Amino acid sequence: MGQAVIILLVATIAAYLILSITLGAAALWGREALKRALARGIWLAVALHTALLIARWVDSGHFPAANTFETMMLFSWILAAAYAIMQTVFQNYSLGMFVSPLAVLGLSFAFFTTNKASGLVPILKSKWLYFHVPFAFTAYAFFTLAFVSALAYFLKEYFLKVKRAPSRLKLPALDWLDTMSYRFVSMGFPLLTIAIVTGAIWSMNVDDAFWLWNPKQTWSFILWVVYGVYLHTRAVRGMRGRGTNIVLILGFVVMLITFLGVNFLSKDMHGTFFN
Amino acid sequence: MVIVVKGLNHYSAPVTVREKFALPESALGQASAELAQRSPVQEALLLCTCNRTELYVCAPTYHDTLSIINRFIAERFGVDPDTAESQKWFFSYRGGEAAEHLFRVSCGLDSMIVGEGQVLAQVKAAYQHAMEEHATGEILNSLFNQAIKVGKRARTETAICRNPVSVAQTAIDMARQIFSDLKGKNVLIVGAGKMCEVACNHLKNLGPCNITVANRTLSKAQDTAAVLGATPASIDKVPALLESADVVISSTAAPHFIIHYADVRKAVQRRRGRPLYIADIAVPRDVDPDVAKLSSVFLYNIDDLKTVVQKNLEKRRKEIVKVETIIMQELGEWDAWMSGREAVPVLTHFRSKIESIREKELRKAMKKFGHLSDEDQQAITLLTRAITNKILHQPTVRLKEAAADNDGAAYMEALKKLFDLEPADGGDNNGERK
Repeated sequence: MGQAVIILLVATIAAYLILSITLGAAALWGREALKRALARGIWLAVALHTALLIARWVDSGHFPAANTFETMMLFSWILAAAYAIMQTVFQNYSLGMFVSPLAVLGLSFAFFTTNKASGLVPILKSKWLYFHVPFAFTAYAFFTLAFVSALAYFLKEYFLKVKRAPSRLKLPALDWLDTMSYRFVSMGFPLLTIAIVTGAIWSMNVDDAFWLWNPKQTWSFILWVVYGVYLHTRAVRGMRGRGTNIVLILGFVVMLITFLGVNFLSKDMHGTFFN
Repeated sequence: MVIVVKGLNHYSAPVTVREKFALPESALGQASAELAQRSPVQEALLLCTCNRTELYVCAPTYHDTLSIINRFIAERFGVDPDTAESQKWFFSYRGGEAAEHLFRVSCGLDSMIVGEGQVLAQVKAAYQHAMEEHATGEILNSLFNQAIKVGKRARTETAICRNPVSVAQTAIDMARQIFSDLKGKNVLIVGAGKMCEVACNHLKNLGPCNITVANRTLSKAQDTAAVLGATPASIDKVPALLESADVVISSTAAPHFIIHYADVRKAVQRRRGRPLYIADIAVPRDVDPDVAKLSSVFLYNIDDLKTVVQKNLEKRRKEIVKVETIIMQELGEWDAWMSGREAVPVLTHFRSKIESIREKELRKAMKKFGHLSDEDQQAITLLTRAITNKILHQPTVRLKEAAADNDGAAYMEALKKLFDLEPADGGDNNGERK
C-alpha cells in the first residue's frame, strides 16, 4: 500500500477523532457559535477523506470497494459526506458529535484489517460494481443516520422524562429528530431497493439466477422489509415517536448483519472481501 | 444644578410599608407637577411601581432639595420620612449616583426578577405622565430619555431578559423541547384564569396555533376564548380533547384532579405514539402525577417548571456584568452632557464679567478722549471688543472641550477662583438663606 494512503488514512482518522472530541466538549461546555464553527470542520475531514479515497483508487487501479479496508473507507466517506450535506441544508449541527465517532470507528476498522492493495478478484470485475456498491452503501449511510437520529431521540426523551431538558447536551426538539429519521429512511429505502435489484441483475450475469436466497440476499430482504414496515407505519398508519424509533434501532442491527456480519460467514462474492 | 432621587423599594422596605407610598399611575403626573412647583425645585418626576416609589427632583442645591422632598412625602402620603423609624426605609442619591440608580432600574437590575420588562414600560409611562403635566424640563427629560435608551440596549445587547422567568411562559417554552415549531399545533388550556391569558399571549408570539380554552363554567371559557381568539370548551370535554392535543396547560383552582390517569391512558392509545406535553401549573395539582409514567407523555408540574425558572434566573444573573458595562458607558455620556450643560452658566458669567470690565474701562477712557472724532471713538470701542473677544475665545473653547471630557468641574472651579466669579447662579443663595 502506498505511503500516501497510510498518511492520509491516519490524518483522516485524526481529523474525525479531533472533531469528535471537540464537538463533544463544545456540546457540554461551549457556546452556540463555537459549536457551529466546529461542526463546519466536518467538511475539512470529508475533504481529507476524499483525498484518501482518490489516493487509494489511483494506488490500486480499481474502484475502492474490493475488500474490507476499502469498503469501510468508502462507507464512512458516504456517511460523513451525507451528514455534512444534511447539516448544511438543515442548518442543524447537533448530530455531528454522534456521526464523527462513527466515522472514526469505520476508518479504524479499515486500519486494522488486511490493507494490501490486492488485485480485484475476477468475480468483482464487472461494471455492476459501480452501480450496486455505491447504491447499497449510500442506503446504509442513510440508515445509519436514521439510527443516530433515533438514538438522539431516545436520549432527548430520557432527558425530558427525568426533567433535565433543556440538558447540557442541547439536543433538537423531539419531533425534529423524529422527522429527520423519517427523511433519512425515505432516502435510504429507494436506494436499497435499487441496490437489491442491481444485485439481482449482477447475480443473473454471474450465476444465471436472480435470487439464490444466499445469506446476503436473505438479510437484504429482511432489511428491506424492516424499513418498509417503518415507512408504512409512519406514512400510512400515521405512527410517530417511540415505537417507530425502536424499529430504526432494530433496522440498524439488521443492517450491520447484512452489511458486515454476513460477509464474515459467507464464502460467495460478498465474502471474498474478508478472505 | 443637581439631580436628587429619594425613594424606597423592595430592598429597603417591606410591602406593608411600600403600600403606604403607592400611587396609581393616573395620579403620577399630577403629583410630579405639584412637587415641581415647590421652590427651588425646577423639575420633578414620580416613579411608582409595585416594588418601588421614587421621587426624582432637579434643583440648584442638594440639601435644600432633600428637605423639600421630605416635606412633600409627609404631606402627600401622611408619613414623615425623616423620623428615626422611617429613615431606614428610604435611600437617596444625587448627581451621577442618581442617574446610575435610574439606569439600573430601567435595565431591570433593581427588580425582584432580574431583567423583567415591565419596569421599563413603567419608567416610560411615569416619564410620559410627568412630561404631560410639564413637571419635567431639559434635565429630567434628557435623563429619562437616556434611561429608556439604556433599558432597551440592555435588553437587546445582552440576554438579561431572554430566558423566561414566569411559570406560564416557561411552561410554553418547555413545549419547544418537544415540538420544534408550535405553529399549527393543538394547544389545550384548562382553566380560563390569569395564567391562561399569559400563556395565550406568549403563544401568540411563537406563531399561530389552535388554542382551545376549557373551563368549568362554559360562559367564562367563551368570554376568555373570544378575547384571545381561541375555541371555548366545557371542562368535561377535556378527556376527548386529549386525543388531538399536543400541548396541555392546566391551571384551574379545582381542589381535585381534572386530568386523570385513565383518561390520558385512553388518549395515548389512540395517539399513535405522538408525544403529549402536559404542564400542570395549578396548586393543588390538576393532573394525576401517575400520568408521567405513560409512554410519550411528558408531564411537568409547577415545581419542575420552577426549577427551570431558577436556572433561567441564574443565566440572567450572569448577564448582569454585561448590563453594568452598558450602564457605565451611558453614565459617561450622561456626565459629559451634564458637565457641558453646567459649563454654560459659568461661561456666560465669565464673559459678562469681562464685558462689564471692558465697558467700565472704556467709559472711563472715553471721558479723557472727548476731543476725538466719532469715528476715532468708534475705532477705540471696536479695538477693546476685539481684544476681549480674542482673549476670551481660547478659554471658552477649551472649557467646553473639558466639560465634555468630564474634566469640566476642575476647570470651572479654577475659572471661578481666578476671575472671582462666585456666585455663578445669583438667585440660588437667596433661596438657601430663607
